[in-house]
Amino acid sequence: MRISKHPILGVRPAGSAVSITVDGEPITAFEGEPVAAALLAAGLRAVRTMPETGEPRGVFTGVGRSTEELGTVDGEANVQLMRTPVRDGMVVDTQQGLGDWGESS
Amino acid sequence: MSGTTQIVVVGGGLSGIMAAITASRPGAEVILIDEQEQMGGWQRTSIQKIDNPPDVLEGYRGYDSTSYGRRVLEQSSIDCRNRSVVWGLFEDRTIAVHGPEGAYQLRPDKIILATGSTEIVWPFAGWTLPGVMTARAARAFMHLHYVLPGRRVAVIGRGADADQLQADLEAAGASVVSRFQTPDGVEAGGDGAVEWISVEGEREAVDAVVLALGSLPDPELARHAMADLEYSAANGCHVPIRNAHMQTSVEGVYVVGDAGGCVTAAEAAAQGYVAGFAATDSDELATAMSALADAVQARGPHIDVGDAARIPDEVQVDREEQVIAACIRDAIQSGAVSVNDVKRKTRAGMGASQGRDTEYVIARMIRVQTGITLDQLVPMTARPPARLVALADLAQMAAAVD
Ligand SMILES: Cc1cc2nc3c(=O)[nH]c(=O)nc-3n(C[C@H](O)[C@H](O)[C@H](O)COP(=O)(O)OP(=O)(O)OC[C@H]3O[C@@H](n4cnc5c(N)ncnc54)[C@H](O)[C@@H]3O)c2cc1C
Repeated sequence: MRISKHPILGVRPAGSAVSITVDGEPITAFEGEPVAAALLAAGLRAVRTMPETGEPRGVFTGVGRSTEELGTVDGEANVQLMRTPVRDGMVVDTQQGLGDWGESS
Repeated sequence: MSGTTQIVVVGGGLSGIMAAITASRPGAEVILIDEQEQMGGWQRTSIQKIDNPPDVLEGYRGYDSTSYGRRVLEQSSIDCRNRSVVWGLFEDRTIAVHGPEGAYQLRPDKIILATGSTEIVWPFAGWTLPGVMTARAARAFMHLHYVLPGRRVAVIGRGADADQLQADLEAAGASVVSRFQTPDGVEAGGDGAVEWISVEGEREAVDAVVLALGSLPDPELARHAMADLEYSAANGCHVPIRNAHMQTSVEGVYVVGDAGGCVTAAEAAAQGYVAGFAATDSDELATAMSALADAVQARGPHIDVGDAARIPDEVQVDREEQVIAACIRDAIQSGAVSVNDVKRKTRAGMGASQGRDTEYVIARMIRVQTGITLDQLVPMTARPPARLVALADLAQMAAAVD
């Protein structure tokens, strides 16, 4: 859900629309916005599952400090989604538990 | 001392900006560090006019005031480092930083901590569901990124901040369909993300729940440095003890703004001036300014946001370590009398947020079960890292310190 025109802030500064892939599905996002914002704008509230319980989690405090806001981006696990800017063609996966550490170096 | 004085200011909110600008004088080299992509602190996400602002910010809205601050910084010689996290403060004023250039350390002559506040959170049934978030997360989504947290939103919290949050959500185009004063008795549910909320009865359909429960000072780095603390009834937690020049019990370490106890914008700015002067050995100016910083408005005691006795047993108090209330109650039953004890026995507070979010709740759970009052409770020990850091950075730091 995007805010098309805010009564005080006006319209979002122009950005270039790009396409990223989330769990295999394409979504449209703005280059440079945090990945977490692109996901929420597309209605995707869950960003990861927790180890052991497998519970879904989404952005909670939004300041990029907690392990709840981690996802897998371009194969790299445990990336802070509130801190990582969108790039065209990015591949984002809902992180399962601790993520696949084998792929990150 | 000959040569220049090196000063590091941690936190680029209102008080840190003012401290850095004040300290930036001939003979001083100032570095201003902030983990966000821009300076400005939490006000960057605020669209309201600042009440009783410092004179220079009269008439500004929060986000405008921060762009003013950034313009002033641009014209200065201050070395501004954004996207840079200070994750530890060690002996001899050694600061561990992680920024775009990687991990490094600084050992300045003076350190001014202006790290602001963290939000109070409180557990209730369903609070770990995606779609439940804090006021700051909601404001960042709306005001920095033009994304709505949800269309049908419930707000939990009392007081002017929660009212303002409700107004902010409505301005952005959301409907606030439920408003609760406290999280006590609130239950949220849904399949995979929040779909409804209720208090003892009818369910209201929602797609987001926002907690606006207020803030706590965040002096974590001063705690790393083992600064002496005292209990503050106005804040409902321990804060660093400071002299009139904002210096803590640790020589050369100052704390200003919300980090030392929640203050108004004018006070946050004034404390920045005081520490900026004091750190550059301009004691007379610092004393003159401290009259301003001292004009602290009388604030009543902190009111707890929820009743610790009413947190359901099966609800997770620590969301990261997934420790439920029953487990914490058992630990207290079997002798835990401090937040540290509970942490050792249950792992609550061991996650990446290092107990910052859980300390407030667990302290109150201990009080309910043991009768130990908050001022008598031994404050939690804060240990680095203050943020998620890669093991490689820790290893590098350890090697350098050894
Ligand atoms: C919701 C709300 C409403 C308010 N309304 C008013 C009002 O109407 N009128 C008024 O007078 N006052 C108001 N205040 C109070 C006033 O705005 C604050 O006291 C003031 O803005 C605090 O500024 P600060 O610099 O201390 O902290 P902040 O603005 O919080 O800045 C702290 C900065 O430190 C950074 N940081 C923290 N830790 C680290 C670290 N380890 N490494 C790197 N960077 C770090 C953060 O990224 C942040 O940018 C309000 C406060 C809040 C929370």
